[in-house]
Amino acid sequence: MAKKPSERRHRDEHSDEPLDLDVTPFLNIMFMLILSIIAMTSWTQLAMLNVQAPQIGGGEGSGSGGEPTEQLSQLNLTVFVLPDGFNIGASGATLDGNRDGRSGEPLVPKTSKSTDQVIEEALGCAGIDVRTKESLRLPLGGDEARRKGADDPRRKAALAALSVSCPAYADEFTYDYSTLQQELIKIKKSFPDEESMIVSADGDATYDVIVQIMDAARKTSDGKILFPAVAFAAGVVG
Amino acid sequence: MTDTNQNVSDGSQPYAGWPKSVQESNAGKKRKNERGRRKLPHTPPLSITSLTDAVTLLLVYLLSTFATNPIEVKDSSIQLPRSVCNPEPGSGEEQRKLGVRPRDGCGEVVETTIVMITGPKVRNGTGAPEVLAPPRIAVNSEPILELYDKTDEKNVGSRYRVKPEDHDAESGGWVIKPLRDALKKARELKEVGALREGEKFDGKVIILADKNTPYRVLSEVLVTCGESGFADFRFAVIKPD
Repeated sequence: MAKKPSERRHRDEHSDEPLDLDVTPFLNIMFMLILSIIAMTSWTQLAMLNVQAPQIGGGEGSGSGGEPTEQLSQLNLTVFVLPDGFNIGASGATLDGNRDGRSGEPLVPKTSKSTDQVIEEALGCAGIDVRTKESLRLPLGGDEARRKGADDPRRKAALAALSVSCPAYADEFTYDYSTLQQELIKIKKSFPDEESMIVSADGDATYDVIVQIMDAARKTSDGKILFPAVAFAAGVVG
Repeated sequence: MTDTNQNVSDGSQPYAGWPKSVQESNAGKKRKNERGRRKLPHTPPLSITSLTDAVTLLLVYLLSTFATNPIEVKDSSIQLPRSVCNPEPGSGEEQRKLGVRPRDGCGEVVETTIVMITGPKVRNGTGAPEVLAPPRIAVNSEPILELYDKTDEKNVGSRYRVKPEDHDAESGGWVIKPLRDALKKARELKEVGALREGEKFDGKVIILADKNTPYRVLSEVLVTCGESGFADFRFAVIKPD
């Protein structure tokens, strides 16, 4: 075992030290690899929702893979997105819900958000200052306080903070997608061959709501297909 | 074998396997070859073998979770909506070959023309967020037009609309002129590419939209895409974890 001259004097006659491998460069390469992999990985995984062409203004539509004429249904099931809930309409079929989607109460009204949901949204909203966030994280004092529901001070604090920082989420009510799905399941039972649905919304309805309606209309929780072929009515109500 | 300083690399001794000089210096023994000079005691070298092990494991873990997307969302002002759509891995390629659409309308990411509708660029501090730039519409990450705030109430995404001067008057206010021009160009490029591959132009387009995009803007973009020959829409959404 060769040694540097400066180390020769430390050499012991009867020691057979194992030769240590210098792992430092290896470690450097490892760190570089880890950094590059972290930088290259896409953390959010995307999926694609297929959509039918809008029914008006489809234009030439040449070369498209879709065949909108075949998909056009007898039922014309339409979900109207109103500011205060959903309505379900159809032409040439007797369904409950209003045909024009406009008069009276919506078929599926909005429901009140749960306190947890309000708080979660408030915590997720970047504009809220740290003190408010800390006060929202405080645990509730026992079950009694939890049962108060709407009187929960944390709920009020969260709503107040949201109305300043994220007015888009300050609404105390939310669309009721599960009830909408129940209604769609009922309709699917009467029209089992029908797969297309039209979504018609207010101009101010957000894309997020549209995507969630498509989610509710695509499949039931046990994997039965409802109305996956969603088209958009370009004629907007309101 | 009574010598306690002997190297037994079985971990039974605190500095087993280290150079003998180190063991001796740490045992507090007086060094044999000390010639009246005061010397700093040897600091034992750090063992980086275990660190190497940990790093290797981390690397293996990262490699196994490594994933890339054909399309990347690099713009921070766009928040995609979340969906329960979770396509089976590998189904996309199969469906592309067979030329069918997924039955439940929920497919894998494909690489094609992208129309992007961003949200407003905001700076978040405490209190109300400050809007730095209005939402934009871009084709293949090339900005085409900006939207305007129809109510002047800041920070609500759904208040934005396409400027009236950007509309094509003949279409009844549904076709966005600059977007149509950009899409026509994109389509010409695609058609040439498809011709070289011996395929037909498929009219696929991916809509990458911020989750607060108003329905009015979304449907105008869809109508314009349809007008320009892109009639096979896909909405990009975030898969559930």
